[in-house]
Amino acid sequence: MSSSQTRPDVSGAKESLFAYARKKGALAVGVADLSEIERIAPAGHRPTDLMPKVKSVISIGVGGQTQGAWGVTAKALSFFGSTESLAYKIAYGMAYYIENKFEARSIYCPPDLDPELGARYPLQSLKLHAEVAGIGARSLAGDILLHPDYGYMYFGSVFTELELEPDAPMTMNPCPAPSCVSMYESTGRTPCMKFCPVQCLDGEIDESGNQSAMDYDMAKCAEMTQQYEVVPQIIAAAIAADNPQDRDDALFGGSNKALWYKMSVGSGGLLAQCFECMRVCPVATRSDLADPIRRAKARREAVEGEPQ
Amino acid sequence: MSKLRFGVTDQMMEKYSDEIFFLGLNFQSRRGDPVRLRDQAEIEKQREGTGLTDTQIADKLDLTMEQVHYIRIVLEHKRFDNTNYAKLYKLGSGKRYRIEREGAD
Repeated sequence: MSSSQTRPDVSGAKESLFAYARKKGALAVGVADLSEIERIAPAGHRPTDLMPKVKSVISIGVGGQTQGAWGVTAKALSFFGSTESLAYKIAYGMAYYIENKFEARSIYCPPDLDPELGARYPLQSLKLHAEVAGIGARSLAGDILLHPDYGYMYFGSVFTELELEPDAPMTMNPCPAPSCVSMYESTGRTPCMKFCPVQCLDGEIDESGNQSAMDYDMAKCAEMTQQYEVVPQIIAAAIAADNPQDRDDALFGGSNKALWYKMSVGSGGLLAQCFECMRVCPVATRSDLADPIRRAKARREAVEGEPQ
Repeated sequence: MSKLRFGVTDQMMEKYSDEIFFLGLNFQSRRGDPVRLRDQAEIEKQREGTGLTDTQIADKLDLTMEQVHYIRIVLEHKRFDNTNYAKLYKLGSGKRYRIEREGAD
């Protein structure tokens, strides 16, 4: 048999890919049911719109903050709170790994906005991939995904022509946590709703303690998280200014001082950088494996619990 | 000039502004947990509340995708309140936002 006729052994491919992701730092990995994503995502945003021969969507979740990060000022957290670059790095590497080991075409799914639609529409919903892959469930905090063990994660996705057995969505939703249900019963609000600086979150919890309604004013949230969207407004105000003072105010006024710096250096602080809802979320901050200290403790306890 | 290229008029902007702004992703409502529970009928039922694409909005309002896109992008920039971000400068390290403090500082 010639070498061109041999095919790579793909048995155990899923386990191999999961082991790869975990070795590189992923906390959770899952395979989403492609047909389900195709049904749910709108036209133009389905995996096959991006990669027509895709067979599987792999979702990778990485840890959010260190435990220390939750206690710092919002100014500081805005610069280092996001850890999505690790998810993207693992996804990028996994695409190469699949092609190298299993000879199946693969891509790192672009996590970016759709250039045709502007800043508020992604090319693909990484959230949908992760939810269908069973590594996150929608929360009352604007549908941010939460995991019962790892809390708040960032996600990356890989599309591949390798056929993999899909996983199922999570059977339970960790949001709302029992303490949030108690607060809701006494005040009508959860911590994420109460402490949001622009009051963009609302919702209802039913008698069983489950989410019955989630309402999210994303436009308000964007004012805290997508500062770059204001640049045309500032320039328009400067052009329309009647006098030099108004023009100076538009360009150099208080709230814009750091904006030009962020724009020029492409700082991460320009992007999704308000964490006030997650800072008060017990699932995000206090799940058993939510941060490196808790994960280290769990590892230590597991070792101590092993028979000698 | 460019809005005329897409056939967007001032009257159209006035008539459809709110509807386009709300039908997009700017406001999202979900009832129950239909994606996790794989309830496709409920997903379809709630599609409008969870946010539509420009193409879907265009179909609904009998406009072109380019018209919807233009109106939505202009609104998203114009309605963006640039003063809110400064609230973050006072938060963290044990201090949380309180609506009752709004305007008190």
